[in-house]
Amino acid sequence: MPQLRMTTPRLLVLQAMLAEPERERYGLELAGTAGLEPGTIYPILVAFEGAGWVTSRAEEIDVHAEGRPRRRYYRLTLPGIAVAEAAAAKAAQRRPRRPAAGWAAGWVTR
Amino acid sequence: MGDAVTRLAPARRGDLAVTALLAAALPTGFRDRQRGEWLSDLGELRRGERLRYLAGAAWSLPGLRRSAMRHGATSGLAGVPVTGAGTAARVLLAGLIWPVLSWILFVPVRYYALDVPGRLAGGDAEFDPKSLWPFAETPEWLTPLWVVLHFGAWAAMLGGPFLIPAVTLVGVLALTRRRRGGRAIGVAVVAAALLMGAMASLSLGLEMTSGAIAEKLNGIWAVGLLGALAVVCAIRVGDLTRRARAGLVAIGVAAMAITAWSYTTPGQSMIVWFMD
Repeated sequence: MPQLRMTTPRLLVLQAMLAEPERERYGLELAGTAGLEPGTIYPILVAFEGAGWVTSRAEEIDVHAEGRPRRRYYRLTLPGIAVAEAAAAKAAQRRPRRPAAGWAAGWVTR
Repeated sequence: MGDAVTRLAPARRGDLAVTALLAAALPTGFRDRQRGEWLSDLGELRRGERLRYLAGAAWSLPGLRRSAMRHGATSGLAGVPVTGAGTAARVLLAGLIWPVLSWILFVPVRYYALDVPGRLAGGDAEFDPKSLWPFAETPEWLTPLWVVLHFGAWAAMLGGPFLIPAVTLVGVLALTRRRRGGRAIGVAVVAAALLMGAMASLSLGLEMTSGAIAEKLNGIWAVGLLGALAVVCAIRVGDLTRRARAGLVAIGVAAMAITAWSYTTPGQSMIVWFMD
């Protein structure tokens, strides 16, 4: 399984997911929670999935009835939780934790 | 992804077009998944936010492509499914480009651009392929490039015993250069290709003593054969990108044209000149 370099955006996403590790979230929601620019989170999520830190599944809806495309939901795996906790602890030693309040927090309502 | 994309309301046609454009830069098997992500996100955003979102998506596209290509195989992402036929087609494409383009540049382009028929008819002594452009009249530091292209043209001209190892060698090297696990296979194929080339050289060296050298050397039919194979691969192999398919058709047609042209009277004159 490939090892990933821990960058600030990756750390922010892990911290956002670690707040509620059991909860599944979709990309836009996570970007807002992590405080990332919209549309920029997917390289991070794909890398996390490749590293086995998160799993994803397509939303099970009738797209005709809902009138919108399926979302993909992401959740931390057990190794992902361990990595996230270690990374968060390491980051906390270096500097005070950055609040994960993104510009997008306002428009992520669902 | 069918449903997720095509069932959107007409108002989202702009999103469909933009996301299709962005997705074109991603690995084939990953495009639909990512396009679905973008479209579902865009469906939640207002106009100003959508532009900002798309700018962010475009900005992060190289990183997303790298991630999808690097992690697709290990993560269970829907990466490009690779079959043996698909790999062989890619090797063929990457390997055939060098001899075909080299032959085109070094034989017909030089033959006509430098007016070799005129030189031959006029008794001009300067018609030796090795003493004309690009070997003459270009800086010396470019010589390695010309030598590589010259060998490519000769590989096409010599055909089978040289061309097939050369195509395999270049194709496998091109395909395995970024795959750590593929290096051992690459080295094995390169070794096999070199061995075949060496054996062919030895056998050719023995045959050259018997005369009729040009006849023995001219194996350009093999270029056309590989070209036809490339076109068949473009049509029949399933797991190829549109770009690879177009490349196979283009290089295959060019290779077949080389062989066909070589059997015409002017083509034979060119070959005799080049092999002089």
